[in-house]
Amino acid sequence: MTGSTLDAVDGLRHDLGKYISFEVRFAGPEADAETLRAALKSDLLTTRKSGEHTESAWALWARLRPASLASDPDVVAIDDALGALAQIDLEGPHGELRRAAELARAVTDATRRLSRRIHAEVDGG
Amino acid sequence: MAEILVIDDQDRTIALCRRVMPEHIWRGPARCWEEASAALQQHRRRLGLVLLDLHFDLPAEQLLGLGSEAPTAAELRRARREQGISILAALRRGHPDLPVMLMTARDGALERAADRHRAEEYTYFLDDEDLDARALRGQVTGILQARVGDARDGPIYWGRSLPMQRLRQRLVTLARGRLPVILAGPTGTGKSLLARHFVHPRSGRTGKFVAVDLSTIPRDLAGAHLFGAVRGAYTGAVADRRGAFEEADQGTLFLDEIGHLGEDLQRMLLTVLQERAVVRVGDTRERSVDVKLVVATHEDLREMVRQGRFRADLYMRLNPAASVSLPSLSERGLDLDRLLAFTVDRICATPHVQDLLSEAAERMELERRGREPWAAVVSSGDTVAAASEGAFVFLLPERTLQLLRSHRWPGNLREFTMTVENAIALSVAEAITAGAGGGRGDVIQIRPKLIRDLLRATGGLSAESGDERGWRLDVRVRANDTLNRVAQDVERQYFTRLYLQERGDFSAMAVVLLGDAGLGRKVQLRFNQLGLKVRELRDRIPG
Repeated sequence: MTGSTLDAVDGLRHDLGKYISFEVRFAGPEADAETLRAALKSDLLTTRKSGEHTESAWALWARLRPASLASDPDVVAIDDALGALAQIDLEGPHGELRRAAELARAVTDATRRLSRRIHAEVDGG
Repeated sequence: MAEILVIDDQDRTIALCRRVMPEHIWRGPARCWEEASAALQQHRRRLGLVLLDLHFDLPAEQLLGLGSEAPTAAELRRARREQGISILAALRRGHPDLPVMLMTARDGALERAADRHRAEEYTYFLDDEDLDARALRGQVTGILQARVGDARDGPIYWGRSLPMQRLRQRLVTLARGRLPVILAGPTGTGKSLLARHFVHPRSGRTGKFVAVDLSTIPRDLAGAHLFGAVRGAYTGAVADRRGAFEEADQGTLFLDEIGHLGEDLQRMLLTVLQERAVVRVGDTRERSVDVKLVVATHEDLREMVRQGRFRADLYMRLNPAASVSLPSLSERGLDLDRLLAFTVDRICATPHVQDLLSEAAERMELERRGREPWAAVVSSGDTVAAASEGAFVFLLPERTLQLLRSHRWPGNLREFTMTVENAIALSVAEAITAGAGGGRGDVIQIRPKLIRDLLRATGGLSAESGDERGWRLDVRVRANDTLNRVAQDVERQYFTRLYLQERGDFSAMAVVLLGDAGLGRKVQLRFNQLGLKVRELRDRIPG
């Protein structure tokens, strides 16, 4: 495992993992449809935002996806979750939005697992 | 409300914080160390907390901690990943005790990195990566409250009683603003200490603190003193002089006893506040001044306005809506013990008392610690502190404490300090005369009789100035009421007022009613007989 892979998974965890469910987490599980819709739009469409520059979750994933770990189960899980999220209409009903929130949290969890696992492998020699 | 700086190259954290914690002032986001450094400089005195992200996607020239001028791709990545730690280390060089919350969960590698930069003090991590709004808010509030707690341990004259805590919180906000602050309160409550040691340091101003006691300056000279004068403006004006306003430019000007300001000077002061400029006496040139004005008075300014003795327009300019009233010492019940320890310590450090203690030590054959001054330890009640080399123990029996606690202190801190100083000096002198007498030579008892004698001198004053008009009781008498019923009604109301005044302390009530703190139980029995309930009155105790 190389240092660049470590950096890549750390970056993935921070840039995508942290911000893809940033507002959804803050909104909490009881959030009403409109709150959740606004949170999801913010999390998925402007995952990174600095002044006028924004980057969506899919754009980030395209940029940060670690090619050397293409078959890693967590990378595959992120692929799947983001694929499913792309199919969800953010103008849709509350149930759809809840599903989207779960998928966003799943991406966060996968980036954390990936980061911890890769770190453990490196620390373990 | 606190001022919080967010250092983050992204906008989302600050946007969220503004939404879920609108009660705070949010600064930033500062997107790199250069911006953070400027913001820290600009808001340095007002910031209560910094929220700092860890990962910054910045170009190489904006990154801190890059080892070489031509970093490798890996070095760049690492510098970006740990930019928060590098910023923290840089921040700590200028702000060693400013709380910083890293917007990431605790992590061994991060903690080691923080430790490497000696940045661990006052540094917090998120409790959990899965923070929701309530948890983040709770954590931020906790850090800010700990900060207030630190401030609480500042100068002891502040104490910890609820009225003083509330006052402090209010003043922190007022100190930062541009508007004047009125400090009201009885004489001797520490208004000038407050302005000098609390308001000025928190005002964020870089100029001097200048204090003028208007009650001590002849009215003829007050104008020149405040606003300056040019040579020849009046007899004796042999040179141009700057006034207090100019001296305090960019700083704080404290005008004590503002009620003594004559009508002409009131008008001049009003003009200065309106124009933010002074004209020296005898001059026509305006000089810009920017001062934080703090005024104090023991008089009721509003009443003075009603009586036509103080200009209404000046009064309104002084920001009366935010006037701060300092509680009298008798309202600060719980603070007294801490004040006592502090005052004994401070008085024992004075040369006069040190001389007395040296003499006592010689008489008692006590060992001194090198050339260090004698220290003082306060023991109260039945517990006497263990002997310690170079220290005297001042023992205050329970009865002495009761007398101190139940006194009304009409002269407030000033009277309190003088009483304690007299008590110490006289007790040490007594110990020198009496010798150890077989007991511990380092223990000096402050006897109740001495305190009673010292307090007797101001006891009458207490009754007069505490509430010279007395309480107005509401007694409704019907034609067929028995004398006993009317008397009980009066008694009940009097007990209620007294209970609230003495903050539920029956011993203190007994001192007032029966002249003996030991009869508190008797007072409580009568209290119960009158049908009064502690649980109903407890919540009405002021503060």
